Amino acid sequence: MDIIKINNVGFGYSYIDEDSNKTMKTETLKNINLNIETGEFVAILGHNGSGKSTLAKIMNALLLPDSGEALIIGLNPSNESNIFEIRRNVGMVFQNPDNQIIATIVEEDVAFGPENLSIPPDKIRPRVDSALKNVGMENFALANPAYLSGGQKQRVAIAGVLAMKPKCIIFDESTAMLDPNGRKEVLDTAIKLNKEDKITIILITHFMDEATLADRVIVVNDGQAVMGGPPKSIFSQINELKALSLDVPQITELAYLLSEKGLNINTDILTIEEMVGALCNYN
Amino acid sequence: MQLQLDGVNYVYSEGTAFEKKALGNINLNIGKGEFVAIIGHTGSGKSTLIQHFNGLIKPTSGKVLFEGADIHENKKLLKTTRQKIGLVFQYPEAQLFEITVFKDVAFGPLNMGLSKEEADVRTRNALEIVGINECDFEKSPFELSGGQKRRAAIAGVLAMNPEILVLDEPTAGLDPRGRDEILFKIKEMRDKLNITIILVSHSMEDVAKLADRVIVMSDGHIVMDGTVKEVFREVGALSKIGLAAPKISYLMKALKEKGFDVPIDIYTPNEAADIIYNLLTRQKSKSGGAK
Ligand SMILES: Nc1ncnc2c1ncn2[C@@H]1O[C@H](COP(=O)(O)OP(=O)(O)OP(=O)(O)O)[C@@H](O)[C@H]1O
Ligand SMILES: Nc1ncnc2c1ncn2[C@@H]1O[C@H](COP(=O)(O)OP(=O)(O)OP(=O)(O)O)[C@@H](O)[C@H]1O
Ligand SMILES: [Mg+2]
Ligand SMILES: [Mg+2]
Repeated sequence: MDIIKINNVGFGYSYIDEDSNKTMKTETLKNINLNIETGEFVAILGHNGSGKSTLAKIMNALLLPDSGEALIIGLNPSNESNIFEIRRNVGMVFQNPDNQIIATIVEEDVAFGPENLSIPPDKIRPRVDSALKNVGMENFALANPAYLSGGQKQRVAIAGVLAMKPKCIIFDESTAMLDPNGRKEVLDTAIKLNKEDKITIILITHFMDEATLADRVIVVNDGQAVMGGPPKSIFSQINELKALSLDVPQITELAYLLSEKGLNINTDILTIEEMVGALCNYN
Repeated sequence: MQLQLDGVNYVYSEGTAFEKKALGNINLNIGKGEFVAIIGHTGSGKSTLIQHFNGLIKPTSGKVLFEGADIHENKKLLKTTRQKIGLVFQYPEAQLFEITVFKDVAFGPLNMGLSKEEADVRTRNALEIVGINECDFEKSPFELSGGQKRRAAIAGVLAMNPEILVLDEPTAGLDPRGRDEILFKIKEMRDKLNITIILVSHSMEDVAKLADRVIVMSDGHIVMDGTVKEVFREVGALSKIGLAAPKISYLMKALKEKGFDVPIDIYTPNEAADIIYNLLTRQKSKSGGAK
């Protein structure tokens, strides 16, 4: 089943044209089509301004399509009575770890979502505890977020989303500001939530290495989905990706360089292990 | 020395419950034309440190000297120092405030007393370097995507033609092409105009590719200071403080463990490709010769 269906969705932001003084609309999403299966781990790539964050906001009903149809967990956001249920089920984690945490105690911050859902206090406690445990932050329940590292703050932000018991989490460049350890903490958490808790994960990123972790990669260009497939089939198209302002992981780039020099090496190698294997068996 | 920090300490919210010692006894010299990278775990003090360079933060104790003069000696000196040392903030929202992108970038040059014509030329040039399209010039900076905001913030500092360019995570949120193009332009500014570059980054790959010198911060202190090779050689020490070496060096290490005769202090795909190619073709011609 598809947890998210985006059918021919068009979306533009309104602005006032200086010359004519008329209200105009940008063409940000142009009849975009894509589906995300329940339980999938999907990476979304695309140039700056291609429409990824806009698409993410359509997916959790922060923005509504101007045309076409979005169906999120089977619900149409154009029907206002569905919006609450969609937002509860599709959580978002953003780029800046400092902007996402409001409370001065970690567990209060995590409880914020369920409190807003008017869940009775005795039911909130277990949710908060299990969310913090899920992201490995249970020992920081009483800590002040100001004293956490970036990766830890992002894990608290993820716990805040988890406490709403969502079916899907969208990470909009949630690792962009993190050091290598913090990035790994967040990605490991995303993988765990996907594998163990069957939460659908949508990872928007500019790190090609992160996209190799996904089941499927979707490339957005100028408001349309222009490529889609498993990481190996996407990253073996280096020229197409470069034309779309993207790149391949460094290990894949190395495979290309070696094959360009005339070595007989597959150019869909993504990881260090695969590369070591290929070079050990080289003859 | 162009820029010098002498025994700098910094404490946030001193004397309150939120007191936080962010920098401890920093001593640092940076010479004209150097390309210095600063790396360190989140919260290690990088942003706090670089905000000292142009006087946005005043040390709790210790001195910051630009071309030998204490920048906090008087207001006038502080002002001229800020014009010569351009700083791109980690979060572009902190930097963008004008009603249009064009006005935002032109603000610096106009504020320095340039004529409107001169400021326009610099603004267009800076916007072109960072890849902002003409159709976005009249937009509000807040209507830009995340990566576009960052580009605009970088342009605003480039337009001031600084003598020292300090960039705090300038490539976070940029698409791969934007990242490569902007970093290339920055490197070119150093090579052609001898502008000093100070780059804070979590991308070990970018650091290895660009910097001459790498400063490593941990818990408010400088814990390493050396060339790219000297610093990234210390993989164990780096991983202990939340960092890593560039990806390719882990491949080289894995190959060495499998018995390949390769150096492990290799940090870019291009270098690795040359080494692996030479190794494999040499092996082949040897085994070919034996037959
Ligand atoms: N509030 C807004 N008003 C007007 N235009 C906007 C607004 N927000 C975004 N846009 C425009 O919509 C387009 C898509 O923006 P979006 O933020 O979805 O891009 P993105 O793919 O997430 O980019 P990035 O990689 O830089 O984060 C851009 O051209 C942007 O300038
Ligand atoms: N305004 C502030 N008030 C109190 N403490 C602060 C403030 N700004 C930063 N700190 C603290 O000072 C320390 C150093 O922060 P700084 O922002 O310099 O780190 P950083 O190395 O730039 O981290 P990152 O990689 O996350 O950008 C951290 O512990 C941080 O929580
Ligand atoms: Mg975005
Ligand atoms: Mg910082």
